[in-house]
Amino acid sequence: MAPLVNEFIPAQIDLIFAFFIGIFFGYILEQAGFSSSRKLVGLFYGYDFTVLRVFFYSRINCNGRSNYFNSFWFVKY
Amino acid sequence: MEQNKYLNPYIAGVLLGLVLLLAIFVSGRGLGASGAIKSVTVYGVEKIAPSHAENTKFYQKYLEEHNNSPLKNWLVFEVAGVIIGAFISGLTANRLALKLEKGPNVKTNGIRILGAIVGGFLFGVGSQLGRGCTSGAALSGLAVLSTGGILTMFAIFGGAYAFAYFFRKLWL
Repeated sequence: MAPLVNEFIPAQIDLIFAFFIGIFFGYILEQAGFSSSRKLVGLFYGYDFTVLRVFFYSRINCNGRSNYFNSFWFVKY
Repeated sequence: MEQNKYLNPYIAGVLLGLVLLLAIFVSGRGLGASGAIKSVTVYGVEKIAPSHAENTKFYQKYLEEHNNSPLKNWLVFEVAGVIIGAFISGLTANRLALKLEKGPNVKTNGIRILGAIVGGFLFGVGSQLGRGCTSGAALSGLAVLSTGGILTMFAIFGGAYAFAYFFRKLWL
C-alpha cells in the first residue's frame, strides 16, 4: 500500500508534499529549541539534554509505528 | 513582548516522529538536510564552472541521476520548507532575532564564526563519508533501525563527546 507516492501520488505532487513536510519539520525543531546553538551543544557539556529527549522520543514513536505498519505490509522497506 | 517557552522535548519528539512517519508513509523516505546542500552545491558548480562539472565523474553521475535538474529534488523542497517552518515558529513564539550565541568566555564574534565555518566544513565532509547527517542518517535511519543509521549516530554523538573537552572554552 505505502509508500503512497508509487501508487496514488504523482512525483510532482510528492515534491509539494516534501515542502509541507519540511514546514512541519522546521516548525517542530524550532519549537523544541533547536534554533539555539547553546541548547544543542549543551548535550555534550551536560547542561541541556533537549536533543537527546527529542531524538529518543521521535525514534521510539516512529520506529514503533513504522514497525506496526510494516507488520501489516503497509510500508515496504 | 516576552518570548514563549520552548515546547516540551518529549512532545516535540513525538510530533517529530509523526512527521517522520508521515514522510515514510507517503513518500517512502526519511527526513534529511545534507542531501539538499549537496544538490544546491552541484547546481552551483554546474552553473559557475560548467566545464568542470562536465569533466568530473561525480557531477556527471549526479546530474544524470537527477535528470540534469539537481534542484528538483525531494530534499531541496523539504529543506526549503524547513526554513519557512522554523521562521513561522520563531515568529509565533517571538523569538525572531539576528543573534550569535556563544560561550561566556568567547569575547569576539570572529572566533565563534571561524569555529562555525571549520565545524560546518568538517561536518559536511563527514556527512558525505557517512552517507547522511544527523537528520538523514541518525534520526531517519535510527527510526527504521538501519544499521548504517545507528552506526552513523554513534559516530556523530560519540565523536562530539570525544572532542567536546578540547573545545570546552568555546562554550563553557
